[in-house]
Amino acid sequence: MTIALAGNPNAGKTTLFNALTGETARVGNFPGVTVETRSAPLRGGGTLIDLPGVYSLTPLGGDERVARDMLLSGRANAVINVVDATSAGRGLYLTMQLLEQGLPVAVALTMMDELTAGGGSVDVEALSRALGTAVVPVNAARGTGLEALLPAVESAVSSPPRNLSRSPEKAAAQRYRYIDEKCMPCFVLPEESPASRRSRRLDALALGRLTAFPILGLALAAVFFFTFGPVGGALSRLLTGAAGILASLARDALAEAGVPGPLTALLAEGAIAGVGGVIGFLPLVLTLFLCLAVLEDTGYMARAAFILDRPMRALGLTGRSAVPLLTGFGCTVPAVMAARTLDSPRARRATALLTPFMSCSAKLPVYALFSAAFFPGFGAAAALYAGGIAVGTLAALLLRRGGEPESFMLELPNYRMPTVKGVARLLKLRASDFMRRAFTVILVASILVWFLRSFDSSFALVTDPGRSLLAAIGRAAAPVFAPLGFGDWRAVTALAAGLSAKEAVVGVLSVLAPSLESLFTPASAASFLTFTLLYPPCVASLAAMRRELGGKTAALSALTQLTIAWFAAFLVYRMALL
Amino acid sequence: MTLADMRPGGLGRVTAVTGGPMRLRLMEMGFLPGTQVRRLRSAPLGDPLEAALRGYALSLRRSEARMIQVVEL
Repeated sequence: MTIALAGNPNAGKTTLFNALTGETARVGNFPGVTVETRSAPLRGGGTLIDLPGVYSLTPLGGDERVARDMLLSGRANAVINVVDATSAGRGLYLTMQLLEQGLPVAVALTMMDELTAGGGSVDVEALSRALGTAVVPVNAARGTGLEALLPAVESAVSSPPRNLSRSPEKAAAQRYRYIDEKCMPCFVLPEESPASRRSRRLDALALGRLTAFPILGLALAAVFFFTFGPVGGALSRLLTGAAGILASLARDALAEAGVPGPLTALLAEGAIAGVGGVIGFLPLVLTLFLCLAVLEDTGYMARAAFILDRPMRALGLTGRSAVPLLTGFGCTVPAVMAARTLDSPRARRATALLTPFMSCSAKLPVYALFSAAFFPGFGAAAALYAGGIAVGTLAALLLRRGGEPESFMLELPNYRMPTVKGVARLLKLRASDFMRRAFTVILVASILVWFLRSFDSSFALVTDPGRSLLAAIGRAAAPVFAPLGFGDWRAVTALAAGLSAKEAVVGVLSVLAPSLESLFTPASAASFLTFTLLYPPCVASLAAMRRELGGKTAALSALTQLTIAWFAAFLVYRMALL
Repeated sequence: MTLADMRPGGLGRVTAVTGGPMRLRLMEMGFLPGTQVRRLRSAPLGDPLEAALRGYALSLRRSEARMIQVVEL
């Protein structure tokens, strides 16, 4: 049995999904459309597919289209509809539309504790009769009510279609009339729940005229501080040091064991140094994702979008672009895909084109490596992030063009404490994604680099890497980068490796140039970092952009980024030399 | 008057949702004739603004709020 999970954003859908499927959720794509979604096997058999959170099935926006198409495709036999009991007056609208689809629907009523905390209640049996389908109160976080849910879905019956007007507006009115007259009387609604009151008080600060921007700045600064400072940065330095020790231990051990030279080099300097050099930075990446997840789960992201909408519109974007763009600081790939959820093609396009300027977390290792060698503290990283945003802003202004307006209807959910379980699950997902990339793409890149630098053009072993195939290739491209201060084949090779995955830049540098100072000066380090910040993202991101923008636009964008990167690095180098 | 004209904190009842590309979306979010709406705060830069209806809070642009005709309560 394949069950689709549908519901409004912020209704507790994700928590229920996790509770029903355990640790086995897999991030995937809907066929034909690249919106990040998940499906997983249910405990007890069957599959659960998580649909994007939507307020209706009317195909007015990207998410609604995806949800509707999925439901019409016949892939699902039944639907679990997550409805937030505290906003059922609106949430049941989607329920009405789901029932009209003709699929068996079971309603999972969430946030019951919030409802009762405010003195409210719901007559579940009466509501069930009014809707004509099973209604099951659940508490996904605590795991109550779940055992009743699956049997309810299995025994749910498709309801007959109602007599709806053919005009969508009249149909909307009809649905709400039914909700108001037949469904809401089953609820006893409190004046205001404690959660809502608390949110209003917090919003007086978060959204107040004088306090909103300072608080936003503080929030972003806090993210930065935790990522580079006491949490992410410290753990990262620890792991990197450990990785280095592991590599030399391995080298010595293998040599002692009599393993032939080239194989030792392959394992110790190729594989371990390359991969080990990257894994050390896992804490940086995870801390950043943790911070972004906390911002999203607490509900603050919506406030950020609310505050930023006006200035973003000046850039030709929308406040809702803030979420994909902020996600871009974690990873460009989901950020580009998140742009797909915006309504107007113009906003989608502009947002997707700008995400590469939000320096992705895979570049953090490069910044950290060079900061350690040349620019102590996180001033360099701060400057790079700010620079990326500045260039992105300029690009947005240049891209601005008239077009149809993007709607900005955004629910501001009550502030919530993120659950430890939810956050832990997200981190586990990102960590395993990172490790998978480390042990596939980066491992292959490291071995390839090792191979190319150990052999020359006649495939004879060389001891001096400067005479290898890699050096020959790198030297051919190096003159292009000479004006930028790093016209050395090793730097060029590292950058080229960065096209497969940005973490590979550090991986390759660890293999080719264990001592950075021998290869760079502070000035050329600064220009190298600038180039790394601005040049085209990894192939996974380029693929996502191609899917979103089309091959020609994506290629043009990549070329433009390359050019901007070159000129910016050139400027930085010349200025640094002064 | 429209939702955009209401003062923050004011309570009103929707009388009509005027035409435009956003009309259906506004109606599907619950803005229908007879619906009670409370105008909440504006964003620090004046736009967008927040409104409460049907048990939830929604932010929308001034241009969208101007499409919702209300009568003050």
